[in-house]
Amino acid sequence: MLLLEAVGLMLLGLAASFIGSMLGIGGGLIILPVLAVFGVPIHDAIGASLVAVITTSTVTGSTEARAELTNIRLAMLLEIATTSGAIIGAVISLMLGLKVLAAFMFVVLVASAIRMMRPDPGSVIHPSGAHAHNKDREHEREDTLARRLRLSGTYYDESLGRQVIYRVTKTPFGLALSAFAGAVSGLLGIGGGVIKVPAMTGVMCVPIKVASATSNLMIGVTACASASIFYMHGNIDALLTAMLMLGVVPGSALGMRLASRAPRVFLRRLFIVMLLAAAVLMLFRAFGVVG
Amino acid sequence: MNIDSGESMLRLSRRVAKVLRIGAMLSIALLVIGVIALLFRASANVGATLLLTELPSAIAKGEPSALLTLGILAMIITPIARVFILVEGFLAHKDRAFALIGSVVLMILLLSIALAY
Repeated sequence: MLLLEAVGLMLLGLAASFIGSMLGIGGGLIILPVLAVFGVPIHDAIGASLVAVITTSTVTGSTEARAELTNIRLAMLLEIATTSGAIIGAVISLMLGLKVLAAFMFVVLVASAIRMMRPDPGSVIHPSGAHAHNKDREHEREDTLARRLRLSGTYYDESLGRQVIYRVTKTPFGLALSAFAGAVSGLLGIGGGVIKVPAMTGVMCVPIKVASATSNLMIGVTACASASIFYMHGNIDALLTAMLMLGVVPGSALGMRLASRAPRVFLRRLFIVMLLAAAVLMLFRAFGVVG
Repeated sequence: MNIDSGESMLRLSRRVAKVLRIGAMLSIALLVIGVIALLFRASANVGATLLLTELPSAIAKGEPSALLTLGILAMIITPIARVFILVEGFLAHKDRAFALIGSVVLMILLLSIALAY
């Protein structure tokens, strides 16, 4: 590997995780397409991306403030689904070729871009309207599983300046969506937060801040289940992955710290453009056009 | 959920953060040393990460690829260590249901390794 390539990989990891962490999403969606476009064999690209995703999850999960927002019981339960899905996803991924995987990635990128175009939950002063949130959903009762396993919880909301109590609903549906998120993560080497966060906020009535922190913690273990399969398969290129990680660590640490002060509107637009550009590149790959 | 269990959950969450911090720092330290070692040994050929069976001899020879592999494995293993800590914490709180759920997650992770063989 040339020195230039090594520096390029570090910069890729740095940029992808910096922007990703500022927006509260991982950089996996950007890393895989860039590696694929530069001719890295697709399964090596997925393997490296998986380790990068674990790195982001570990670095951003390692601060106490973030940890206190995490619902560790909910994370642990959903992890049964995400890790099972991740194993299936990784096994399928290793059986598929570049074109099919690029086509899947195209779909995920377009879906993610469309999701990013919707109103930004992070910019709302009342995060997903903790007030409105509870009022809207008052008729929705905690489901049996959530009650038995005591999944509901509380967190201290800084912008509201008080403790927020939330009740978890529709746990079985949440588990199914988590399994799907895990499978997509193992298939393409992405974190899958783009599925998990809406599953928790939209289906299970978990406040956005808790959902985002909980999803982040789950991503590490989920990617771990598929990364071990890629590792045993010899699809984790040592130097490629190491250089990427050396960029991801400062990128996600910095992005997380600057998240509250970040120009979110600009960043979201930038990220949407990046996702769509990546989608076009993946479409070229899917049809065998070198791009 | 009563206040007491909420407080103990917070303590457990902080321990999780600490485990993740240690894992990340260990991994990065190994990677940085590995990359520096590689710069001084430009001839060394680095490909895929070394497999567990190849690691001991590579470590003995002080090969940079062994350091890189160890650094990457440290990062991959960190989330598993985190689940271990949680299972232990749930057991300490006599929370059998979640100790069991955590054990299932650990078994799935072990299965992923076994499956790859």
